[in-house]
Amino acid sequence: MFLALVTVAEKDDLPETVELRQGRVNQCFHEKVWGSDMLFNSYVFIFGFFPIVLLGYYFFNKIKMFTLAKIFLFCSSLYFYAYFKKSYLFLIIISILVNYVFSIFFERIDLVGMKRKILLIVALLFNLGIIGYYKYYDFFVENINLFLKSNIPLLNVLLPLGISFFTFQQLSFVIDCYKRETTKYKLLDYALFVTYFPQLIAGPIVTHDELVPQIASKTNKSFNSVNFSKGLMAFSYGIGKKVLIADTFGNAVNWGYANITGLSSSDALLIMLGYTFQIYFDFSGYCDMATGIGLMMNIELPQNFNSPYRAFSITEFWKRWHMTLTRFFTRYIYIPLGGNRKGVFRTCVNVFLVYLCSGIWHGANWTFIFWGVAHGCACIIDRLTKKYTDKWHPVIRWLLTFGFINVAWVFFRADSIEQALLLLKKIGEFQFFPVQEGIYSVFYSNVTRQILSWMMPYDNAFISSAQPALFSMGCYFVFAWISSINIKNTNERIENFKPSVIYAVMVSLIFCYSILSLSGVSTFLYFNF
Amino acid sequence: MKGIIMYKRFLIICCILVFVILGGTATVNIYHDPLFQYSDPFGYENFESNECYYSFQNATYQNPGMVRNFKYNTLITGSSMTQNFDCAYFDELMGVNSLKASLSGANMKNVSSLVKLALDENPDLEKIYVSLDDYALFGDPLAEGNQPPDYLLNDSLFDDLNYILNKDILFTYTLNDFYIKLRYDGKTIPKNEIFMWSGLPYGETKVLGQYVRPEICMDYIFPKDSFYSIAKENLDTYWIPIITNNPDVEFNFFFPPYSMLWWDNYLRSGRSGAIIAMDQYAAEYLIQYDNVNVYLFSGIEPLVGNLWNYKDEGHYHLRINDYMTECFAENKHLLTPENLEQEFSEWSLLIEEYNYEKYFNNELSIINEFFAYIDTIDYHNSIVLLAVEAEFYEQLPSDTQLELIHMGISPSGISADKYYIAIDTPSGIVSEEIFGEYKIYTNITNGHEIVFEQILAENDVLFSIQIDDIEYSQNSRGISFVVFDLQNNRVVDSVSFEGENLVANRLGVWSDLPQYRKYLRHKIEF
Repeated sequence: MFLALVTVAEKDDLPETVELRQGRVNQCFHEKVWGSDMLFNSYVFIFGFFPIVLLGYYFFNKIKMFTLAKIFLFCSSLYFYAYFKKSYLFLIIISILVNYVFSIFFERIDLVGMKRKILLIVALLFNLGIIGYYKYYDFFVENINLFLKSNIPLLNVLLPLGISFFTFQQLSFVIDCYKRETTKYKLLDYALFVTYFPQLIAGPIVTHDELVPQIASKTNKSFNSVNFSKGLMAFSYGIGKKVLIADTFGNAVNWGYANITGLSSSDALLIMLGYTFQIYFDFSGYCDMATGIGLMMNIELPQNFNSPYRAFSITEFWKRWHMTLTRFFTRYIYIPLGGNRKGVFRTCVNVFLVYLCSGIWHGANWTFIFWGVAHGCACIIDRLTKKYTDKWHPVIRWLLTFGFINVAWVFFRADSIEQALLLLKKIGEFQFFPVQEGIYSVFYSNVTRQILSWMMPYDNAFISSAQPALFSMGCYFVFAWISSINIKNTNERIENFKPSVIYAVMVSLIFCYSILSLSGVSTFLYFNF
Repeated sequence: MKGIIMYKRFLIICCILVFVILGGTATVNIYHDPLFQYSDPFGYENFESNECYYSFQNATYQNPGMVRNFKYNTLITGSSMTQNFDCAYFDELMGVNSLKASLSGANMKNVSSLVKLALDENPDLEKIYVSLDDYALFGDPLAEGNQPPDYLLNDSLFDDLNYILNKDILFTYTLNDFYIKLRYDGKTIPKNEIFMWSGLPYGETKVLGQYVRPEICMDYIFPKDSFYSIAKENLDTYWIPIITNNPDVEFNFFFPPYSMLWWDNYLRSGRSGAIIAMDQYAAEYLIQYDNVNVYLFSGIEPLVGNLWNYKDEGHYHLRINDYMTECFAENKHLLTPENLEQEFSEWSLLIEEYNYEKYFNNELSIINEFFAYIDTIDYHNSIVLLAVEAEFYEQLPSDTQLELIHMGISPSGISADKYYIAIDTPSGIVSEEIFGEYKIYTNITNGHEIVFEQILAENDVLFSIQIDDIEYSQNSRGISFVVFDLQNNRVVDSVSFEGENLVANRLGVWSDLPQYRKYLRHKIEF
């Protein structure tokens, strides 16, 4: 499950970062989780939690109490996790301890042959059992009830935050232990690897060999202005992407999906495209923030996005989108199944299985499974036709890829397959009417309106008209498109970072404007009046 | 080494800029405090004479601060049905110091959370006046409605970051208030005008024009007890704890006098009986508490049956708020255990037996041609009030002039802004002209007071026709008619024929322009 940082209409509520769409299945439970959240883009994180963690971490390291610094960081991470839901703290702790015990068995007891395999199977069952129980049980039972007309009760269990991420992280760890690809880790280092808060709830899916050595290293314990500058820049870009761009698109998309029957083809197209931009800026923005937080603590997290909408094929898209997830599936499903070494047919089957798993991983709903299957089929077609399509003009290849991604996202966002098909049907009706106010008005912020009213004090009719709002909407779409395709992404910026006064001003402005945009004043529309 | 210095300089610049921008925003927002969360910037006594300018833009966001920090001992709150109460009139009649914190479309949760905040923050609070809207009584108790964000209601300082580091507050309130003060020398409105409506048209034609009459539903009539449990749940959740925990505070609820069209809607959808029964149930439930008064205005036919008191089927003119204020002061229309049953049964009877069709079978109100119009008027059973501007009269064709002369217009030569008036009654005609004044006629009709008033407004000259302190016509140029049906005792039409082609306009009557008026008492009796 990954984070689809879907936003809510009210700006005063914190945006919901979703463990992808349990929310959709159990909306009420989902909302409770996020009702008291500590997202990176929240006041409590930026002005409370993070400064305290930074100060404490560097303080303990400064006075050479490295273990205490790690304990402090571990406790802070647990606090971060418990802030969402205290009762699941035990789950993550038990998961860590049990997996660590597995690793000890693999490391210290000389298990061979079948016994070793049995232990691996037990470890896999344990981890998949946890995620299966919490994430898929209700979905499974709902479908059983539907097909067999039975009445097996649902658990209605609240999904533990980040369960898909920390489970997969630990799965990779125990499999590597089985393959003897790990070294001996201290429990504290291992626990910190799993719980380290920047990557805990929404990835990237970090592997033990990437993170544990950095945690254990004593050379990167002191404040480093180079890393801190890069981290601050990444965080600012990330929060800007999330708060200023993704949440705005999110409000329009939410309105569209709530009023889907009344959409014209032009509205539906904008909603589809809007979600494509929302999910990218949301997810990659959050990952940028995680990267920035890590860098400010001298810890480098792996790249998760590499401008995915630049892709000329679906295969390339998955090399650029949620790269750590693709890496996981490649390493632990695709290659063990034989990868591309067992002929074309088996390769296609393997590819299909990977994307099927990816769909299931993203959420317990047929929409995700359909989305995964669609991407799987597209990848297979891409592989089979590669030698022909490579000769096509890049613009055509890009348009086909981007078009397919857009359509697939419709299923990803929709509450049901029927809803997704309805939106696509609306597009297919070819009824192009002027865009509805519910869509364009969200792009016309109170601040823009206010500044216009100062500049044109006698043009109230123009300011209240649709024109400036439509212009503003157009700017958003064009900016989102250009910036996701043509402008350097955050990781490229980190690599080529050169501090300057202008850069500092830009970073500060983005950071401050994002902070000032975390809350707003929503207008209650009382049409009955 | 040079590289490191550049990075450090980068960080220092960032820190300074972030500190200046965020610190500056927080400072100006706290200093100006446009949502009144930290102080009453007016000192209340010199509300209007303060040096600062404050705009009132959003009741949801500004009410909590007003309730928290303003000084008052009487709170008026509720839905839009309370928005036009005049605090100054409350203070004058009852000797209190009132504050109005109304909220359009408010549900019980919204109102009770404001009242709870007021009771927590203001130990001087003695009386509370609240509208008891039927939609709120049978509304979903869990619905958020128009609820202010928590950071405006709670005492937590940390979540005030939502307020002080908020770009919308900065731009649309704080900086905009500074801008209006500097550029236009803006004056804060008096407290009694806060969130009052202005510039809205009233009148029967306006109300009927936007009313969508439902088909009669005979399939299902809601049983009388349909809404008892939901009303009880709402009251138990949002009001009873507050009432019982504050025995020294007087709670005054009132059922807002929606127009008869409101009830036409309920009646035709089979719900009127159940809703009146629910209101009665709620009234009985509430008056058992010693510190609760409940008022019922809904059964006053001259009020609720006259659509010229309304801008739509629910929202009434501010003179109705004034009338209710007078009733509060005199305890008129107060429900008691003794009269409650009878009051509700009379009201129920009114709703069931009312002639709603009179609004929809009004032949006169659909005629748009001048000569056809004057031919259709039933002069034997009507009083026709007529006004025409002298200059406009002179431009009319002779046949039109002749008709007007027949109706009593007595031209006396061109003079700008002079009006000719005529009153046609079955017993005779009165002719007169008015220039910058008003004329009152009380002896012509059986007990009705008729007023013609010329209003010299800032950019316009308007002409107003009033009957018994209710304004029925407010036009500038054109031939204005107000037709009073003596049989049904009501105004059946108000129209102005304007322009060269005498196009019929039924524009309704706009909110008051008190600053330009010489006459309009607005002290009505029902």
